[in-house]
Amino acid sequence: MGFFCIRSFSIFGIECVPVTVEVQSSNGYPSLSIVGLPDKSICESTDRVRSAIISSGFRFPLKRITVNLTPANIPKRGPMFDLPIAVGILAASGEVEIKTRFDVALVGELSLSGRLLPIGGATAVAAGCADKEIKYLVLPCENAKEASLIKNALIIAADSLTQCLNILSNDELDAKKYVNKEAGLKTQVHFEADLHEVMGNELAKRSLEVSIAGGHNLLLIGSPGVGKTMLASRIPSVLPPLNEHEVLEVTKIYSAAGMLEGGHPVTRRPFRAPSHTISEAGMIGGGSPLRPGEVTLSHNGVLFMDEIPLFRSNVLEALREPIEEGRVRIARASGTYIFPSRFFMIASMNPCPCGFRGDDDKECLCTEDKVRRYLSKISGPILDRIDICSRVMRVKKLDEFKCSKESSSEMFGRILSAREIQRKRLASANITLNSQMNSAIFGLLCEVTPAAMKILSSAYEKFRLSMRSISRILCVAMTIADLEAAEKIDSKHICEAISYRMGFGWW
Amino acid sequence: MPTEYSAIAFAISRVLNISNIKVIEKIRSGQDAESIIFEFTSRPEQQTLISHKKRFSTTNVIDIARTELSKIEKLGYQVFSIWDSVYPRRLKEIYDPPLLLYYRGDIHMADEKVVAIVGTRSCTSYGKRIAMEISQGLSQAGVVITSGMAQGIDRFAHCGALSSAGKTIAVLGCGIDVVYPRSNCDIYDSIKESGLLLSEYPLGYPPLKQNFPQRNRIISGISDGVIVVEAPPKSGALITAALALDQGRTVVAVPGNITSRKSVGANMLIRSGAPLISSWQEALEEMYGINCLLETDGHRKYEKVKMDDCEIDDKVEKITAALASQPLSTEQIASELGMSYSEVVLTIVNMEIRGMVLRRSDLLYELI
Repeated sequence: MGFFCIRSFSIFGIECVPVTVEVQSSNGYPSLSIVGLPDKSICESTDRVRSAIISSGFRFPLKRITVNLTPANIPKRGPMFDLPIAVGILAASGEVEIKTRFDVALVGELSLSGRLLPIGGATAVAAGCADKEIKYLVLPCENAKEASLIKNALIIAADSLTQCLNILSNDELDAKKYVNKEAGLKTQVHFEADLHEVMGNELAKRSLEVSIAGGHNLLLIGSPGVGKTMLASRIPSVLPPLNEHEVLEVTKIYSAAGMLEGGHPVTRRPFRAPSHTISEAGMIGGGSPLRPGEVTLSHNGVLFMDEIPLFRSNVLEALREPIEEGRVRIARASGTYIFPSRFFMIASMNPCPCGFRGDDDKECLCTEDKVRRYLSKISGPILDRIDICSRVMRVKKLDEFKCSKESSSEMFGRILSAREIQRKRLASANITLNSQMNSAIFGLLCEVTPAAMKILSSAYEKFRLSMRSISRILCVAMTIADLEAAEKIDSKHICEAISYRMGFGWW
Repeated sequence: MPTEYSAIAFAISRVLNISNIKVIEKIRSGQDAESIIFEFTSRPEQQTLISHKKRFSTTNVIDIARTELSKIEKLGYQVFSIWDSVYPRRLKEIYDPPLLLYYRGDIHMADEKVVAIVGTRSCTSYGKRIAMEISQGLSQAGVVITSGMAQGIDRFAHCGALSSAGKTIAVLGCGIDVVYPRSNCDIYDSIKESGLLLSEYPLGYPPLKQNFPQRNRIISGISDGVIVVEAPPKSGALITAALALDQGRTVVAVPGNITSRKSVGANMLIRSGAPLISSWQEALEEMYGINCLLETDGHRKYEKVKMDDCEIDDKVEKITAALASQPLSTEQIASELGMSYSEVVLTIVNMEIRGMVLRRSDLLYELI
C-alpha cells in the first residue's frame, strides 16, 4: 500500500486553479481509476500514462490504483494531468523513490513514447504557481518560454517523463541547473504594409493617429473602395509594442486559448479583425470548454470591425459590457468567468447600403427608409462609445497621390511619445490612456485654456451636446494635445476634437 | 353621397379595369359617360377580364362602384371624376387627365393660382433654403404651392407654404391614405388638415416606383407653371419640367452652382431657354406677369460676417471662398488652401459654432 500526492493546475477560461493529484496504490484486482470530476481527456489519460510508463522503461504496477483530483467538486479538464498522474503512479507503487513535496507543481501531456507535449495555458499556470507560493514548476520544454515571463516562478523544463523523474528524485532541486534559459522577448517584427502606401486621405490617417495614441474608439465612414480596409490593414504597423505587464496579460490569454505561435510570448499588440459572420460566443467568449472570445483576444489591443452594420445585432449589443467595463463576465452553470477585454474599437462602414450617400460623383440610390434601417443596426449605446468619427473620401485628383509623404514609422514615433506622456500623467490614477479617464480624473490631471473652454461651451449650446460627449471631446482633445506635447488643451485641440464628434445626420 | 359620375368613373377604371387613356379618347370623341360604360359592359371580350367571371350589366357594375365609394367616403376621403364640375380645369386640358381622382381637403384650391415647386430628393442646404424662401413668398402672395411630398425640395416647398399659413397641394404617387416617405408624416398630417391631398391611385395603393413619373403629369397638369430648384441630371424634377412643357406650362428654374452636380439639371433648363428666377417675385412675374419687384426687392443682402477673433479673420474669408463652389472636407480645404490641418479645423469649427457653415451628414462642410 502506497500513497503519493503532488500539485498541479487545471485551466478555467484563462485562469488556473490549483489541483492536488493524489495517488493511492493498494493490493487487489489491478485497475486504474480517476475520480474528481475529470473530463473526457483526463479519463483517456489512463491509456497514455500506461504506455508512457512502459515506453520509459518502467514497470506498470499490477495494483489497484486510485487517482483523485482534489478539490473534488470542480470539474477539471486536461490533458495536462498526464504528467502528475504518471509520476504519482510510479511513486505511490514504489517503482521510483520520490518524496512527497508541496513546493513543486507538475503539468504536461504525455505521448505514448514518454515524451512531454506542450499544454495550453502554461503562462496562467506559472502565474498560479507564483500566487500560491509554489517554488518550482516542471513543464514541457515548449512551454518554457511563455512560462518564464512570470518572474517569481522557477521554471524547470523537461522533455520526457524520465527527465522529469530524474529532476524530482533529487532531494534538493538544483534550480540553477534546470531553470530555463530561453527567457526574453522576441524583437519587434518587421511590417511590410506601410501607411505611406495609402494615397491621400490625410484626414482619416490623422484620426487613426489620434485614435491609436489615446485608445479612442474610431468609426471610419466611406464609400466602397476608398481605402478604409487598406488603412485598417496598416494599423498594426503603428501600434506601440506591449509593455512587460501587458505582454504577460496577453500571453496568458493566448496561451490559454492555445493560440501562441511556437510557444513565444505575444509581444505585438493584438489586432483582431473578426469576420462579420461571427457568433456571439465567438465575440464574447463561450463554448465548451470555455474559450475567450475576440474581445478578450484583443485585450490591450485593437478590435477592428469592418462593415460594422453587417454584424449580427446581438453580437453588437453584446459588445456593450466589454467596451464599458473592460472585461466580460460569462455565467455558466459551473460558475461565472471573468475575461479581461480592455481593447479599443476601430470600425468601418459604408454611409448607406449602396455606399454612395454623400458622394458627389455617384448618385445614391437608397431610399431613406433603407438607409435608416441600415444605420439603425448600430444601437445608440454603441454609437455613444465612439469618440472619433471620420469620413474617408475618394481621392479626387491624381496629383493628390503624391502628397502622402508620411510613413508608418513617423506616425509610430508620435504615437509612442504621446503614449509616454499619457502614461506619466495618468500614473497616479492607475490608468495608461486618455480614453480611460473619467471626468474626475480629467479635472485633476488635465488643464484647459480659457479660450478653449469658451469654444467648448459655445459648441455645447450650438450643437446641443450631451455631458458625456463633452467629456469624450475633452479626452480626445487631451490626446491631440499630447501628440504635440502641449501641456494644456488649447483652442485648436478642442476644435479638432469637436470636428471628430459623431455626425448627427447619420442617426 | 358620391355623384353619379364618380360612380361611373369608378366602375370603369376600378371594377372593369379599363385603361385611362382608352376612356379619355372616347370622351374626346364626344361620347358621354353613360354610353361609354354601356359600351364597355356590353362588349363580350370585356366580360372575361372581370375577375368574378359572371356577366355584368351596366347597373350591376355601378352598384358595386357605389358601395365601394361609400366605403371610401366613410374613411374621410373623397372621389371625383372627369365629368364632375369640381375637376380642376387646367388638369382637364392635358393629354391624359386621370379619369378618377381621390382627394382630401379643399378641392377648389386646385383652380386657384397654382405653382409647382420641384427638385431633387437629396438637396443641399442651398436648395432647402431657396425652396423654403420661394414657397413662403409665393404663398404669402396668395399662390397655392403644389409638389409631390417627397423628401428634399418637395418637402421644403410644402413646409414653406405651411409655415406661412398658405395653401398647398400634395400630389401623391400612392394611395392618399399611405404616408410615403414615412419621414414626411409631419407634413402629411398638416396637409391633411389644412391643404389638399390628391392622388389617382386607390386607397392603400403602394408607392411603386413607376407611379412617380405618372404622378408628375398631375403636378404639372394642375399648375400654371413649374419652378425647378436643384435637379441633378436624370431626375424626376426634369421629367416634371418636360411634361409641363408638353402641357404648355411655364417652366422656370433657379440657377445653381455650376460645379454642383445637384444643379446640373436646373442650369441645363436655363441654358435651353427656361427663364432664370432668383426670387419669388421674379417667379410671379414670369408666371402671371405680375410685377411686384420693388427697387430693393429681389436683391439679396450680402453681408460680410465679422469674427470677434481677428486672428482667424482672413482664414475665414479664404475658407468661405473655397466653400463657395462646393462642400468640402477639412482635408480638402487644407490641401486646396495650403493651410495646415489644425488651422483649418480651428477656423471651421469656430465658423460652425457661429453658424456660418454646416457640417453635413456626410461630414463635409457647406456654407449656409
